[in-house]
Amino acid sequence: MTCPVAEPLVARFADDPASLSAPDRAHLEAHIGQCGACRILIDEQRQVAQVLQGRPPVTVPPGFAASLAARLDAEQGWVGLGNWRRWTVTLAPVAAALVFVAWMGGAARTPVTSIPDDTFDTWTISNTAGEPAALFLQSSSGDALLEAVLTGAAAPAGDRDAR
Amino acid sequence: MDADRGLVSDAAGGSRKAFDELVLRYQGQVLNLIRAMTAGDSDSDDLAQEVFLRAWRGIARFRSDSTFRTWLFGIAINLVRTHRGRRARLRQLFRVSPVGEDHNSDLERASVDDGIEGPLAMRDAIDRALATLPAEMREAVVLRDVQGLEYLEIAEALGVPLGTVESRIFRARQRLRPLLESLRRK
Repeated sequence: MTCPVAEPLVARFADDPASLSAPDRAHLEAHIGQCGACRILIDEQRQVAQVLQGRPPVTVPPGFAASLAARLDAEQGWVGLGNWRRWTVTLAPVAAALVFVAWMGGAARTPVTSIPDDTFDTWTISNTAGEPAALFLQSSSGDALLEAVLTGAAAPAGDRDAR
Repeated sequence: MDADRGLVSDAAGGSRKAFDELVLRYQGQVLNLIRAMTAGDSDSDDLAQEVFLRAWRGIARFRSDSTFRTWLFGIAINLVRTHRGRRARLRQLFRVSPVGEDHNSDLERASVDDGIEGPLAMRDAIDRALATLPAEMREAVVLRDVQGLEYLEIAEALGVPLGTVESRIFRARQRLRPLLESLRRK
């Protein structure tokens, strides 16, 4: 084994010789037995590792966990938006209410097909030949009057078959 | 055997309580890792929180091929890389002199043997020395010597072969040796 071949194994050997495979360990031990430079490298690796391992750990600042919890809570809300199962369960009553309201509104707006005669009054003006020349409508309710015209309940003047 | 398996399983099923327990277990280690990787960047606390947010989003997809800790550290490393890239682009945009990547000035500062008193100063000196390393060496040596991961765990967290990890750690320590000489004598 040469120094360039030995070097990549030196760090692990310095940390824990037993972590190397048996052949690698045997070759490296044989090499460092006769290579002073590699023995120095191993010592240096251990020294640096020792200093780094002595680095005082960071103290978690107060409020770190609480702040993170708040962000996680907000995150859960947003994640929930993408959860279709949650949507289905949460919005089912709303959807049912909307269907009911739509049905009620539709029923209220069902077109009146026949207008009771007493909702509006009609009278006609005839020409000299006795044929109707104009039809007049009068009602206390503008809606009833409009519906009478739109639904054909009040036939235009001259349309004898309409009423 | 991953000691976190039960909590991870519950958290993956949507349990916030289980995830909060995992946060309590690892918040110190994640914060420590981020600070060591970013030389005490002012955004490090925020980055550490972001690690847990990403973990929460992705925990349902976590596969127990590796330990939860290795997976979490992998998230942290990726986040730091992204953060570093964003910072570099900003510096380029505004032509700001990089802090922690000016090797010469950091070499000088880190080897100055004055004012290194107490744990805070010691940590600061180590972090400044770490900041002089290329990112891939810093990641490997921090995971090994600061966080205490095994070589195989580091290979998993970084997604590189074992031999690459060994080589990076070896070279990182060689570069750090003269910078940490003053601390070793204390």
